[in-house]
Amino acid sequence: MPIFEVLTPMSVLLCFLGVFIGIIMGAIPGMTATMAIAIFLPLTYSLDMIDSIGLLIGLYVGGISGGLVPAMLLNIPGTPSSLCTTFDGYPMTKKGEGEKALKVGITASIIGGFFSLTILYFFAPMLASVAINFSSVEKFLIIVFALTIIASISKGSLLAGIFSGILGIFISLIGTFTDNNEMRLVPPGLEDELVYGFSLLPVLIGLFAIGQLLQEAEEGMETASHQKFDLQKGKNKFSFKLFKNQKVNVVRSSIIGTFVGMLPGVGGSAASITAYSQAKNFSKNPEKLGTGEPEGLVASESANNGLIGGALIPLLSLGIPGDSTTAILIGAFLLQGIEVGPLFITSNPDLWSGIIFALLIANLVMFTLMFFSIKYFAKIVLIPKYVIFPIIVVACVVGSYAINNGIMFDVWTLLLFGLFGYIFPKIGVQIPAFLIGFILGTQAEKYFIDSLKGSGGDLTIFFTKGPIAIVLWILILASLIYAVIDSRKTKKKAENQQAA
Amino acid sequence: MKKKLWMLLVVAVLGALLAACNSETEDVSEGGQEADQEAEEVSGDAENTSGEEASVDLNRIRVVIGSSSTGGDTYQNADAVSRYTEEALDTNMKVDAVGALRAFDELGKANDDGSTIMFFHDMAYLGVEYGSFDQDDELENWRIGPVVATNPGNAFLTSADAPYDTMAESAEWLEENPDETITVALESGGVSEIVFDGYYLWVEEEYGTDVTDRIHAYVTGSQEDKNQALWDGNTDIIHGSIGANKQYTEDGVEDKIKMKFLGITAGERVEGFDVPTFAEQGITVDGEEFVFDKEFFFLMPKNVDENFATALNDAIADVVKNPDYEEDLNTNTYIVNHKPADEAEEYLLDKREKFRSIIERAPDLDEIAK
Amino acid sequence: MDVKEFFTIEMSYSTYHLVFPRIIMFILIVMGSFLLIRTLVKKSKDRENSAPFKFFTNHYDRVKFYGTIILLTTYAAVLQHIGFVLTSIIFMILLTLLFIGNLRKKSILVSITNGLTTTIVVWYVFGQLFDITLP
Repeated sequence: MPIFEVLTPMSVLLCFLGVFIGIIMGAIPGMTATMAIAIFLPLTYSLDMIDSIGLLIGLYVGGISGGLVPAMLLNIPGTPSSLCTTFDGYPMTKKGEGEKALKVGITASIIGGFFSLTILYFFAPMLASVAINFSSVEKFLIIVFALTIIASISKGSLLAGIFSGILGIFISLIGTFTDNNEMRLVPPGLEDELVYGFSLLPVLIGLFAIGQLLQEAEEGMETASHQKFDLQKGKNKFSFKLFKNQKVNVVRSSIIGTFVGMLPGVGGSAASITAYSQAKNFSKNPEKLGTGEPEGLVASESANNGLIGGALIPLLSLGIPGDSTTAILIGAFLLQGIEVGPLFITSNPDLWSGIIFALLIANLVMFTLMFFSIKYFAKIVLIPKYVIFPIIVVACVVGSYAINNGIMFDVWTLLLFGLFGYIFPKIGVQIPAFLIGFILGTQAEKYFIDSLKGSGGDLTIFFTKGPIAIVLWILILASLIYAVIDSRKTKKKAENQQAA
Repeated sequence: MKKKLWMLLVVAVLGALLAACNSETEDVSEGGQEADQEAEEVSGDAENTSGEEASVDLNRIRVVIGSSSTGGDTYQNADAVSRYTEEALDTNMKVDAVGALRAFDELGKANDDGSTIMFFHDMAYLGVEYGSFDQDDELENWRIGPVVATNPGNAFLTSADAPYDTMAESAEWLEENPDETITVALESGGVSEIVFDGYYLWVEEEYGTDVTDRIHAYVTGSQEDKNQALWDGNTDIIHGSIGANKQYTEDGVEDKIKMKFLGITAGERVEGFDVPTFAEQGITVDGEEFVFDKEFFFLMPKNVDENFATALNDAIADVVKNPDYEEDLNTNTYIVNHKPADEAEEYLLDKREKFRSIIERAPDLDEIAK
Repeated sequence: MDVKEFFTIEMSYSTYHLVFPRIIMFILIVMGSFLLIRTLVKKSKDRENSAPFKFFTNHYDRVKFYGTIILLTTYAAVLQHIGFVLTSIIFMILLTLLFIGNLRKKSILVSITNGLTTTIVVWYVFGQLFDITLP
């Protein structure tokens, strides 16, 4: 079907606008794709369905992609799903390869986006029924699988890394358990503030942005080494050839991203986390990941754009949102009186191809806009710290306040975890591991309890549920064993180097 | 709203153009900021032309709702009524999906000028009765605003291949098959618990405790969780609604996920759906037909400004007569149901009284939850 | 005891919320104490070699560090009382000045520009255009 029979010029224009605003929102620490879509949701009522789809898909793609900019350049993940992008992106910027890093990330993003789009287009209905075969047991195991990354990204002490992750899970459990509306682990006196626990976004940007701010303040806001250098040190220029060696990585990460994104209720951040840990497990030089390898960027970014197509699969073929962003998209359909459900694709063929085309255009626009403006984006790192940090603080405060529609306590959360972000590294708690625990903790609990509710409290259900569960256990064990061996190897190498 | 969107478009295009012209020669940060400032002026001018003369003295009314989802019936009803009321009041209304506990919290802290009001359904008082919300949040501590809509599709569903077709038949089936059990997925403290309790008490009256002993509850959260619980085989019956679940009941849906309705709790059938009401099925509690209409209404701070309360009440009275509003509700199978504020207050207090006795005798979830 | 029984957790509606936190707390305490003991043992073993634990880096910038903390806390504390625009402008000017570290004419100019533009852009774009709830 020719594109312009389905898409009106208006919808293409709105898609363009959506991507543009989405990228900016995603690039501001504290603003997310989810928030961008929520803001524009009431506006879509006055538009035709196809036009509003263009706008919302544009916002979604732009919002997820924009997150890589601050993640790479400032070590602040713009959105939760770009957490793993900081692991290799920031070290590259420090080495003076900021622009290259951005280009690698953007290219990986569009590949991941197209990959998942293809899967969405050809296999949506089929994969959707696979997705609902994943009961709470399998979902719990997927989360555990994603958590094993904690072991493989631990720097220094493996045990300290795992401890940090568990601490993150523990903190995430503070608040109310929704099944029975009972509060737990809440310090007395804070019941009103912590009914829903700490919000993810203020915790995330607090740990990274405010934590880093305090650390820089302690060091006196010196000009950083990478600010003195040119962004492009001669020989290390970006070239598409770089992706030649990354074929397997790109495909694997896109598949993981699409697949994890597809599982209802698991979604976003878990996708890029799992892809990153697998990139590390399969890498020829695992010890190099985390020190500024394009390989890590490719994994994280192709996975988090892959999840967009993935999350749309259960949404469009079953009416079940795959993540929090698609949950808001459902609202957009309902406002127009359109039911998203198992018959959506067959009964709305025009809308369905409209969505596919909108995704296609959004990805292209995202790539073009970002790839060619990246030179200017990258200069963010050259802005003096005394200018950029106050801006970041205000953006973070506004974002935290607005994320739950105006809660002052979220601003205090931001500052509290900012303080933690400063203290943690000094006492050996590893921030990335902590955060991954925090992000996945509540989901782990939900599916753990759901599984037990189904089995009447019988724990063996996790092993006896069926073949998928067994496969997942094998993956989990393999991932753990690999991480332990790798950690030993790295340690030995370090010792050898010291001896020599 | 449409105007705003156009404004945004213009701003973005201008911004992009400006940035493109400047960026080659200028330092980035400045180029960006300048474009932003320029954009500001452009849209700032346009904003002023829509001269405002408000019938309430507020630029913006924040409507907090008791649900944190933008896909649920609370949001849709809040959005529809706000869209029409903001015109009538000549102000801006913004729906914030903050969730029940936070909505009450915000309302408790709100100014008395009407700048923050709440929109919710029967769970507002049921939650207090069930102990999910604080006693301080009971109806007496708020100023009750008008009732504006009903969701008549409050329903129970099961898999398409289940051996019973109505809620009444499910109890009969349980009696005939003493080895079988039924698990019902519901959310605690809400509308789904009260209608489950109605069913449970009726079965107890009609068939006795050896049947109710085999009815279990699977307590969970959102509609998606309930659907998934049915597909996982963890429950046999789920609470849902016609609006949210009808797409799984239609012809052509895969067998594995296909559902069927077992009955709705409203007083009358929903047009276009062959789903019997609880009353038709003969479900009674204390000899009276069990009817539960899920109704949506406004709550305001206790000492809200009298002028505001009147203005809102009057505005709503106009909105509900608007056929466009009715059509908007109907697209999502909701119906207009208007009760002005004074009537609504009496009505809701009565309704609460009526269901209080059911809640008092309701089964303890500790005993029936798996 | 039956194996099956050993692997079964008592599930009761009113205590759903405690099951998982208890498991996590148990693991946390076991690992925490192990790590603590290990660190202490290591410390006592090579007391001569290891330098005493130091929280701050050498010659840390007291003024900027404590200044930032005080500014941040004050900002959050007065934000809702004075309003977003005014508080943010003042806060940004002060923070920028603190980081520059002097009161030269140029610094003051930079800080005022930074404070004014950022705040107004944020206020206008997010507060007015996008209708985000600002403090």
